[in-house]
Amino acid sequence: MKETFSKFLSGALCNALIIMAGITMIMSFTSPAMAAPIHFGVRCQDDFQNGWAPTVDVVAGCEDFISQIQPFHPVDFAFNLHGAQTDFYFGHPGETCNACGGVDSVDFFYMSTHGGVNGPFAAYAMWDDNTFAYTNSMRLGDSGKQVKALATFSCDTFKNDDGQFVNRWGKAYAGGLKIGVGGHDLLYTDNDQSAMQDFATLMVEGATIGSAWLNAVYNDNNDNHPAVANTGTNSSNCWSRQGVTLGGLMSESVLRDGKIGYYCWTDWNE
Amino acid sequence: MKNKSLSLAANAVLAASVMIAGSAVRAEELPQTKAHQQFSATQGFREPALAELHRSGAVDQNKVSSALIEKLRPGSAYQSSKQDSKLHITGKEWSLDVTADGSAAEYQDHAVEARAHSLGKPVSEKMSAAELERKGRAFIASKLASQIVLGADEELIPVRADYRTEGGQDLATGEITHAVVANRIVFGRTLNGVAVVGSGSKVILTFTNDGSLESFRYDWPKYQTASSQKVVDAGEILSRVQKVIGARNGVTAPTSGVTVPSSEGEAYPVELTPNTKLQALECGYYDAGSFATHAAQSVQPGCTYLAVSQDSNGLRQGYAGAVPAGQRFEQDAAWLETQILGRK
Repeated sequence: MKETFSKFLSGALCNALIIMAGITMIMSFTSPAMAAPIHFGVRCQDDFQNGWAPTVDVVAGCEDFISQIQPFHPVDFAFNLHGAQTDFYFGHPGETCNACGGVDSVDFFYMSTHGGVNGPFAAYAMWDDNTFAYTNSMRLGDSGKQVKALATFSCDTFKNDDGQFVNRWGKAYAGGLKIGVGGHDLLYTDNDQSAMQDFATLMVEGATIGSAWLNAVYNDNNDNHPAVANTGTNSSNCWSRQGVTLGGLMSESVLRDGKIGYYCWTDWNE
Repeated sequence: MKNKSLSLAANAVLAASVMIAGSAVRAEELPQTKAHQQFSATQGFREPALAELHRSGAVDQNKVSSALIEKLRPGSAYQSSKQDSKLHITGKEWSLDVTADGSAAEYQDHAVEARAHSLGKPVSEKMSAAELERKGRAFIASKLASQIVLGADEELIPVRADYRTEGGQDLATGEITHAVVANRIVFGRTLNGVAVVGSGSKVILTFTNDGSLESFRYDWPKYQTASSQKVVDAGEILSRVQKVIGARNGVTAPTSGVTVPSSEGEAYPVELTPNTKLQALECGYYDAGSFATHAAQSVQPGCTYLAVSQDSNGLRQGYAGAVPAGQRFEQDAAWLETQILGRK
């Protein structure tokens, strides 16, 4: 059963719908540098049905992320990944449903779970036994609230040294997603993971979303392999757009389908 | 059923891809770091006992920030604020953070960072580790000498070199390009020849391709010696890692112990469970550092570990942490492994 994982949300409110509505109302102010409120959604999973995937200690990091974001932007939901596969899939009702934790129901979607790749797509582990959400069934940013940023603390999903990044992510980015961050190889969890707290803090301070991710994840563990990737009309435009901050996320133009001419990515620890 | 079939088909391919990806992992360590990792897995410690240390000598964070700004940005205007316990300072296109105890700081030159892309070079032309070590030592000597102070029998040692790389693909031509845009050196510290492991006692410096300093981050406390702890051997250290990993990933640890690798040949990977392998172990004084969310003042003998589990679906998960190495270690609320291993 899908439920909130976060002490920041679950303590005050008792069900998903109330959580979503209540926090959105409470979070009505923003920092001076960020005029437009950015709606965040968070989904994290630390254990898996019947132990089909190993337990991973990510929930504390997710709570740290929320604690830093919440004073400045509304966090609409903080859910686990029970029954969540179609909440990522284009055209399914859950994709744009905020009460369901749909990826296209917020501006900025953050997720922590297992991840992996194969030739034509990347995959994120759901709680449900042997179930993944695959990038080739995603079209991010083309419906509902049109998600603009995707951050995933998961291994391997942003792998790009094999020439397959566009094949894996082309359908997802074609919906207009402006920036994505993740791991191009292993990302380690540890018992004092400050990465997600630092990521949120740096973004709120005005760092670019990509730089905030690269620095926070590397500094937490120098063996981590963080990556950022985005689209542009051409090379110059792509690198310019990689400098997007939270303050510019809402106003940056949307590129979809044939408007996309270039993909660019940056890694630490190739 | 449709989804299930897709999952199973994909899993087979996931597993295949993982095998390829694994070969490129951890290529950045310097030879001396690899030797330390090899020794840690096969021998543990050289010494039968090590002192417990305490981070000491807290310095006023305002004095630290003033001293750094005088060296880095003399005469520059800036604003300061408190963020939790950290002092956060921003100037025109730069920022500086200093931790509450004054022993750690982080500096970013945003103007240098912004031009890094335009200075990109082929990856083959990245700065060598030797060049990075020279540049790093020179910067520390000229700008950070008041902060990176070495005590008697202490050494500053290079630990690893890392690189920030960029890639791009033109959809019209299909051409993929790669470039290196930033070069990083990480220094650590030894005390009487014993390494400090963890995030404490680290200096991390990042240079763009024109040699400009883009950022630094250091955590450099003074240590006071306390009572000593007898340390366990490599077999017990590996056994502790095995137990901790079992507790963390929810997989029951096998009844058989871990086989200590031979000193001859490559020690890694070390099999901890059928699905989990140890990639690296580094033993010394474990200091989590003052940037840690739950920083501890005590620095005990310990070993940092990197382990990777790969399940039947081919999914990988990295586990990092540190196990205490004392025969009798102190329980530390901020150190999860001491709690796991201390359970009766």
